[in-house]
Amino acid sequence: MRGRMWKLAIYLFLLGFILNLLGIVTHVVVSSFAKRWFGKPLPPAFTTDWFTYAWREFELSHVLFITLFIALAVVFIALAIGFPAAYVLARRNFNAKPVLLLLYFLPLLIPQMTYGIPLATTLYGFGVGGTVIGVILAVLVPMVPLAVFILLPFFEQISFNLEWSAQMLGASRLQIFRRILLPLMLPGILTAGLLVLVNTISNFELAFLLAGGGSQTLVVALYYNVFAGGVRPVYSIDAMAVIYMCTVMAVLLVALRFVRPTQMVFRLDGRRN
Amino acid sequence: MRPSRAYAGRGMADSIDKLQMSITKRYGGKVVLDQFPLEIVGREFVTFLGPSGCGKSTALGIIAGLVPPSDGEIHLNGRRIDDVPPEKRGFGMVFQNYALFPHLTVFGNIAFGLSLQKRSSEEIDKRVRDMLGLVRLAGYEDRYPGQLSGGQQQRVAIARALVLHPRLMLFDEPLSNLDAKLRVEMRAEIKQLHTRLGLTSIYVTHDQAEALSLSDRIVVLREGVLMQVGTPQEIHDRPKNVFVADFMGFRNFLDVTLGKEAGGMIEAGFKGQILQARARDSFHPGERAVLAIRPEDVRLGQSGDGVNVLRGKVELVEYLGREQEAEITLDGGARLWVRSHEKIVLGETLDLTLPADKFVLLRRE
Repeated sequence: MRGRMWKLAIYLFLLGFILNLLGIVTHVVVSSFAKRWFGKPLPPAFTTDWFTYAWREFELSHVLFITLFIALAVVFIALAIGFPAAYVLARRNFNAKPVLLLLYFLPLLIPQMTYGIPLATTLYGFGVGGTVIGVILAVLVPMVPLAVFILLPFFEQISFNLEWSAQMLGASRLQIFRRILLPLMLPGILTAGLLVLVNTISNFELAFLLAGGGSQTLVVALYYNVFAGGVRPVYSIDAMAVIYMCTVMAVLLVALRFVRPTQMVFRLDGRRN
Repeated sequence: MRPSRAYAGRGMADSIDKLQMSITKRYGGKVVLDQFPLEIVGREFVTFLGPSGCGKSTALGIIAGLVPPSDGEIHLNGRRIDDVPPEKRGFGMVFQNYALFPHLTVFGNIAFGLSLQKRSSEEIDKRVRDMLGLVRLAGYEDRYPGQLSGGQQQRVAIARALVLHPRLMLFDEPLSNLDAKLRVEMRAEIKQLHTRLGLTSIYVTHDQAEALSLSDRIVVLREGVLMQVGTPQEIHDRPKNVFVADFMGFRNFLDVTLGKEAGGMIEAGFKGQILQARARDSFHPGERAVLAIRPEDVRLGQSGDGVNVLRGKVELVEYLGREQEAEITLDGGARLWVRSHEKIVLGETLDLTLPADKFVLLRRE
């Protein structure tokens, strides 16, 4: 009896959650297609004008380009730094390792606002505040640790003996990297890349603190336009929110097409003696 | 024996004549290998034998170049090689956990080294297929390591090393992960390959049976110190110290005080009784020593002349299939292990004869 009640409670909670989510999302979606919508369950007439309006007025093509550019740059740099860092952390044991891991972990634990403001002040001091480079640098602060922490267990799965045996077969460090580590790390690299990509696109605090006129990402632009309320028609803001949601969904879908998280953890020859 | 077809192109010039070394390895303050000396000649099969943590795998790693020595030099055919990186030494190595590349097929694994050497695809194809035949895995080219049994994986690992015609083969406990039956089979296969291909091999193991059956020479190690080097027979029959004797299956160690020596025999006082053993140089009357004897060399019953007879009660009997091994408490309180085909009954009192020529006289440690 208790088990049943418990089950029911879980179902009701899930139902409430989904309805709530659907309610919010559908409201925004419906509103973005509404000609005008006051005090009625459904708008009397629909239009797609708000999308063209938003695209033109908010310079969304530019904003989208900036967003993707920043996201891809962050993915590339985070992986380029995170890959060797994770390798060393997985392979070497040294006294300061736990402390170093904790330091790496901090930007992921602390709310981004706490270090975001001093970070932004510093970056403005160096003259990169308000630029695309500034946004990239700021977002890298939590994204490099994220990449490291995702790559680390993938490296730990690869037995050190594989590198040794490759070496005994005549492989140089570069050849071991290219022919053994890279193919075996591919699932890890894709996972880390995907998560950094999605996290960067949806990062608000740091992008907001560092973004200037020409370097606003989609979320930041969305925020500014929401709070410039009264000037912009609410339908156009909703249209922009829909574009944002669709972008993130599209990126996620494309990424999931290549990376299947459930299949990512495959057993390598990881037995160590 | 004629080298097999797979090795036809080998040219024996690249085989080693002599490997000499004397190396020390320290980890932190701990000495893992203490001036470990070794000399190996071409075509020899040498085994490093010892319990885990004795430094035998470290020694192998240093020879391979994977572990840097703290001190000492390695010379190959008279040329110093300890500053040569492992990928340039031309040695083959087989690991305990196979260490096959999981993302490559059997063919890809064996072809790995050849493709690094930029060999033509015809040559790679031919050499890999020859090698597959040699380790009896023809037809398995397209399998992945995960689809093979442990024994098959280890054969791929051996083929992967052999296909490059290594000057020296290094085996790091290659059979430890296999079950008992397969281990004996693979042992024979490794020995066969070694002889057929004229290899020079160093083999690391903690299994004395493996060491005895494979080796031309055995090197026994204990905590980084060389205990004894010799042929399997020497190590088996004439261990130099209690450690080697214990490791080679001597289970009985009698603390004795040596008495007078006459006619190649020496008297040894053991708990009020006088035992006879074969005399050995550098042991003198009055000295305290250890007499070692294997359980299977102890005979049940009295011998004709009544020499070396001890009496005791059976405390424990272990059934071993064809034989049984029993623990006997002697009248003086000492314990003795006996192995026999004859039936031993728990609790009975027995006479035991310890043949004088089966005793090994050792220094007390």
